[in-house]
Amino acid sequence: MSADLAETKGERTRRRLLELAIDRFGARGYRSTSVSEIARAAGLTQAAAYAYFAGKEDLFVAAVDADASALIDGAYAGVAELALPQLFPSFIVALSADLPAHPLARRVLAGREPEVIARLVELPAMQTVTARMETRVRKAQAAGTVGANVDAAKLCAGIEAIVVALLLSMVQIGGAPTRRHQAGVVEAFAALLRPG
Amino acid sequence: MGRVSVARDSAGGLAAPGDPTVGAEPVTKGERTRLRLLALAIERFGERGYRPTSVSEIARAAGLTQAAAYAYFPSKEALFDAAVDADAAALVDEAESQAADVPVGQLVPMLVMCFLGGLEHHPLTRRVVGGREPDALARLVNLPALGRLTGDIADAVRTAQARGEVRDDVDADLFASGAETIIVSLVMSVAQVGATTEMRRQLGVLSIFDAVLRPPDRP
Repeated sequence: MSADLAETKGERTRRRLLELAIDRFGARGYRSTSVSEIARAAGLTQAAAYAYFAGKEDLFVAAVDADASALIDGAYAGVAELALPQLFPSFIVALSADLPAHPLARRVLAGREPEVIARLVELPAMQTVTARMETRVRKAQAAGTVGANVDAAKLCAGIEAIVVALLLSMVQIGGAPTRRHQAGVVEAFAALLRPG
Repeated sequence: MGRVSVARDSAGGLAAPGDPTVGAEPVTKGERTRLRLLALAIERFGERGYRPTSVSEIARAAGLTQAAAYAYFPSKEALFDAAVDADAAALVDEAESQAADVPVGQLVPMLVMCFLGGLEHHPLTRRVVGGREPDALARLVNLPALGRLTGDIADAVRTAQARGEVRDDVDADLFASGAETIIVSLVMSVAQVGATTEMRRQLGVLSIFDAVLRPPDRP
C-alpha cells in the first residue's frame, strides 16, 4: 500500500496499530481483545490510539480489511504470471498456503467472527484481482486461447465467488481436501478455459 | 473433533441400512420410534445446537424415558450424528429430485439454489453449514447421499456427452467431484455470508458451469 518513503510519522503509527491489531484480534478474537492493550503494545495511550481509529469496532474492521487484502494481494502476485488454466486453481492453493501468515483473515474465514464475514466478499482488493483476471481472460480470448463464447465479466465474478467459498470451506472443514476433489476442481477450471 | 471420532466408532449402530428419510414406510414399532426420535432430534438440535440440548428432553417429547431412548441411540453424540446425517441426506435427496430435469449445463447452479432454498426446512443442516457445529462439518462432506449425488452428476454428464450436448474432453467423474466440492463450498459460504451476496456473483456462478460444459462452437 502506501508504505513508501513518503510515509509520515502518523501513517507509520497507524500502520503499526493495524499490525498489532491483526496480531491480537487474530490470536484471541474481537471480544477478548482491548484497544488499550493494542495501544500499549504500540507505545501509545488508549486516547492517542483513538486519534487513529474512532473505536474498537473501527480498528477491528480496518484490521480485517488490511489482513485479508494483504493475503489476496500476496497470493495473486505469486500466480499472476501463470497460464490461465493454472491461474485459478493455483490462486486457491496460494491463498490457502499464505493463510497461516494472516491470523485475522484466517479467524474470519473459520467462522469465528461472523459479524464481519460479509466484508471478505466485498473487499476492494478482491475486486481488483477479479478485474485483473478479467483482463487476462479477455486477452486470451483475443488471442484465441479461450473460447469467445465465454462472458469474461460473469466468468470472473463466478470464479471469485468460488475461490472465496472454497477457501472458507477448506478452513472450516479442516484437513486437506482429497485428491479426487482437488483434481475435480482443477478439471472444472481447466475445461472452462479450453479453446472452444 | 473428539465428538466426530467417538461417533464414528459407534456408527454401526446408527446407520441403519435404510436411510430414515428415504425409502419405504417404517414397518415395525421400533423403527417408527427411531424415526420419531430422529425427527425430534433434528428439530431440537437444529434450534438450539448440540450443547444446550439434552437427550432426556428429546426422549420426553417422544413420550419415552431417557433410558428407553438410549436403546435406539447409544449416546447423545450418536443421536446428534444420526440426526445430522438424516437431515442432510433428506436435503440432498430433495435437491436432487428438484433438479432432475434441468439441462446438465445448469445442473450445478440449480443444485446450489435448491440446497440454499431447502435449508429453510432443514434446521440442523442449516446450523452445520452455517458453521455453528464445526465438529459436524466433516460428516457432511463424507455423507453417503452426497457421494450418490456426485455419481449421478457424472452419469448426467456422460449421458449428455453421448448425445453431443456436452464437450467430450471433460472427464465426467473428475468434473462431478469438482462440482460436489464447489456446491458444498458455495452453500456454506452463502449460508454464512448471508443475503449480501449479490446477483452479480450468482449470475457469474451460473455462467461458469454452462461455459464448462458447452460444446465448442464450430465455425
